[in-house]
Amino acid sequence: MRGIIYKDLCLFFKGVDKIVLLVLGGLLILFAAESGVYAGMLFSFALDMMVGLLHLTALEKEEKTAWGKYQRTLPVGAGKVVAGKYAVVLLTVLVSIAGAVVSNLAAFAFYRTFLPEALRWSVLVAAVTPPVWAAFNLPFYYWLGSQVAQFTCFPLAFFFFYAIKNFEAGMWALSDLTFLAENVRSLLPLALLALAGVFLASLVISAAGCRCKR
Amino acid sequence: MENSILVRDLTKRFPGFTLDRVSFQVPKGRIVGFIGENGAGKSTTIRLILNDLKKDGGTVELLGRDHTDPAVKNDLGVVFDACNFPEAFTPLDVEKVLSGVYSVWDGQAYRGYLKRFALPERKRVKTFSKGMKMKLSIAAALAHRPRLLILDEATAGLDPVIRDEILDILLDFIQDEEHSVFFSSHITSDIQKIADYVVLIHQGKIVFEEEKDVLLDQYGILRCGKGTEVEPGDYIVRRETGVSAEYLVRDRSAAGKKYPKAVADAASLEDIMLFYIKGEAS
Amino acid sequence: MYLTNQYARYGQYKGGDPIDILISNSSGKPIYEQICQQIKTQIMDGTLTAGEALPSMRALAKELHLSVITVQRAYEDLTRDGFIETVSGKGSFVAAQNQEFIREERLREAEGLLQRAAELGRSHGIPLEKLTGILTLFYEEGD
Repeated sequence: MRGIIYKDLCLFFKGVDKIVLLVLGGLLILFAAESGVYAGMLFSFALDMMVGLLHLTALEKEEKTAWGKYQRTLPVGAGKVVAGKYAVVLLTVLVSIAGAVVSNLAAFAFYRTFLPEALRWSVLVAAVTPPVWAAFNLPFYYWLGSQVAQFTCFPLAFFFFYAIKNFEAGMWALSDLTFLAENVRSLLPLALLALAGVFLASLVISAAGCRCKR
Repeated sequence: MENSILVRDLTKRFPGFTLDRVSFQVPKGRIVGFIGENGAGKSTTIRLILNDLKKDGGTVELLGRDHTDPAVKNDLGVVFDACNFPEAFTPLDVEKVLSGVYSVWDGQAYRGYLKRFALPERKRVKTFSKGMKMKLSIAAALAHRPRLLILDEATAGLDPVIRDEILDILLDFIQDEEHSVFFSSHITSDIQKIADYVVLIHQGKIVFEEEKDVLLDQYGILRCGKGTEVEPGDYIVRRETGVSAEYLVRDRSAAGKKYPKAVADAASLEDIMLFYIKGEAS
Repeated sequence: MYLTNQYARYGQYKGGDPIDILISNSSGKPIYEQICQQIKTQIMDGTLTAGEALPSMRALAKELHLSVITVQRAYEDLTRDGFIETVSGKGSFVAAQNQEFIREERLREAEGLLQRAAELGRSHGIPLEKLTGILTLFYEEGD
């Protein structure tokens, strides 16, 4: 299974090509120009989306060369294949969290302001986005293929764009963030537990899809 | 264990096509060629053997075990007609993935193959030519020390030089008597070069399973003018051309003696295959 | 036919000198017979000496691009006729026994056949030159 995890990680990181860097670069400039110190937080949201997107393009690349057909000749079962993918999604949470921390700290340093709430929100969203993305999209991929999975990730993308748009429109003032944070803090453990449950359920569904899809 | 592959009454039903009680074997230490026209059922048979497709009936044994046994896959090397590695992978990436999946991995052998095939270790598969991709697939298939190699149209679309190299590799593989090769191809000349046995499949049914030597040394084509009558027991398949009739016979020297006015020629594997596909049986 | 002639010069197996085998796809003879014949000839004229190792069946099959079954058949015939011995695990070797004896046998066989031909010729008035001519024709066409 170690080989499968390497495969998924390799596909993920090799998906970072010039286009990805260009888009991220462009967004960085955009945010910096319009949102001041919150650019760090917004950029981390963009990074989270990019992580989700990279996972999707990795799936597409796999399908392109019919890797699944070859993979089924390897001594590794459907359960391990899917578990490997989900494990790598969790590993990339580290990437998104690191990205959140770095982009926020950079923004803080640049504007000489420290906004702990922005940082906390970024880290929370960074931790939650990849698992949520995976839990929602991967079953579609394993049951219906990457074309369908590409469509199903739109709702999530919309949500993010909406959030960023509205923030820029000024709705997310600092006070709002702190207010939300207090509510969320009490619900957090429960929410995380629910997320873990959904994640595992998604894994089981995906594994079933992988097995059936022959 | 006598046979590396043992297929008995393998059946699979599709709308409009049925793989009907397919039976054949691949003895240890032998190369078995699997021929047939496109759509005859070669790839379907191979997918069923690999349990990539659920069979409707019959039994398949690989290396003495049932083909659904996942442990079998460690001793099995499979090469398909296209290279399935993601385009961004390099040969070293392939090694890292496969060495973490197979219970045995001979890294030295793998890198030896890479050198022998002149495959750059750190370049992406995307930059490889078709021939290089195929050689990489073969290197990957051999490096985990399989006992059985299954190739599905692996030489399709390659130039004669590369095909010859690949055939040579297969002959090398067979030097160990515990190794076997099952090789499907519609390029009958490749099969003719290296196979020990040939299995012909047509419209989902096995037409024959025969020693290649017998096919080439004994089978033949009997060409007669319309006047000569050839008894049904003496031929397998008959074809009529404008001026004459042609018969595929199992023993061309006997046929030549029995019908002295006719011409008895040797038949290539392709001739034999075309006869079975286009002619009428006796 | 994809090749009309295959020439194999095999020199990489353990022990023994290179062995030359010439196979023709267009001659009427089955390939295993050709191999058999050539090895027999080389043993009988001393090119291959007693105790010398022959290439393994698989190695020879690979060099000549033939099925292992073909080479196996040839080696089996050679063993049956006493020309070679196969030691399992070690390979095949030119039989140590009397090649002289084998040659004598064959010579005697040929003499017997020639005698019958001569008798036939004499009793049916076939001239000697004609018989000699026919013999020459067969000898040269044979292979």
